[in-house]
Amino acid sequence: MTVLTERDDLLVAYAAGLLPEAPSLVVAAQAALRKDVRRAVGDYEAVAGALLEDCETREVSPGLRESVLSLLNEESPTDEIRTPAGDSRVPVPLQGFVGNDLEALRWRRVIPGVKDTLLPTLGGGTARLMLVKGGVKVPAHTHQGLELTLVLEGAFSDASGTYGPGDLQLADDNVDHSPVAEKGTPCLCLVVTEAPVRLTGRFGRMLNRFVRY
Amino acid sequence: MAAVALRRDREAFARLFDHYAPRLKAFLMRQGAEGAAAEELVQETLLTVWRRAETFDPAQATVATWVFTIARNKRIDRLRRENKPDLDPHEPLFRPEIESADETVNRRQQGARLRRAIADLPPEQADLVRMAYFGDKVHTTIAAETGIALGTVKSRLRLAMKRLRRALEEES
Repeated sequence: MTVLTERDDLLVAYAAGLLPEAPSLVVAAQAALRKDVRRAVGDYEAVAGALLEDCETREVSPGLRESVLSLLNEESPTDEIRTPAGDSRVPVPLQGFVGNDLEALRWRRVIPGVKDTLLPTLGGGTARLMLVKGGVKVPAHTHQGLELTLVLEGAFSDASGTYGPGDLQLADDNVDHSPVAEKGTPCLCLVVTEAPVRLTGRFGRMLNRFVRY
Repeated sequence: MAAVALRRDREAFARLFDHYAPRLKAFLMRQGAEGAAAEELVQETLLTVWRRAETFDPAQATVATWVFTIARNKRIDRLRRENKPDLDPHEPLFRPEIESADETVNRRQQGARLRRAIADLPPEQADLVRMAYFGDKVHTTIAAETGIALGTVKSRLRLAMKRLRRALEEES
């Protein structure tokens, strides 16, 4: 029997629609890569459906029914999601955020062999793509809150094991890790960190600009 | 639902409205929407149900689950637009929609079984499940409100979800 973990907490929040956008991207991208995640999300959505079916009711305003019925003939407004063709190295749910050319993104060099780029997500947490050249070691770091690392291409390993495409590492703030990209294909990851406690005050705000991990 | 999809049956749709609109309104309000905003979402959701009825696949989800996911995505779109009013309305938005659901799971008979399984949970576990879906609350808040330790909240919730998933695995 499967053991439910912290990852399932994320999937439940995602299915409920209560997970902020940055971690939602991780879940959606991993679901695109892995069938077991798709199945789990489907299960948790089914729970939401069952809760809706047995939910208490709240009377809607008298005019709402008529108003909806009168709109049935109207042509549908552009309701469709336009997903432009994206870079094939990133799963579909990410493509809208990344565009069709990974190289064209505004990459920032972290250290030689490691670069990253922020994705424009709303709500709590930050999402970025990180590209690590084969064999390069990411500097040891800890973080405030949870860090989610989803491998999209290549692989990395650290003390906790080796992670390949579709694998998700959850590291809390107790983990002090220094992942190393496997030799060969550069390791492309989606990394999401929970919003760190913001430093406040004039001096703190200045420091925030430099705090990366 | 089949009558709505195949025959564009307005009366059948009106019955769907009567069943789901008051439930959706309650659900959305529990997730934090104001009354008026909840009704707008109810309206948008049910119009989408009508327009996309032919895409509904009973092997993929129950009607309730399908209606829920539409409402959830509408709510997320709305929150996003509120946070970023200058957003291009055609900009691709993130929605928690899994592109291709797991095609090997037939979810046709799951609804009743799952509802029974929720009803059979110990009351404190069922409460946590409801809080996890309705509450817009992180586990720490649930822990504070219920006076149960955070670790206990998490492990009880996982235990409950595990039971529910086991109920889904039977016969499927």
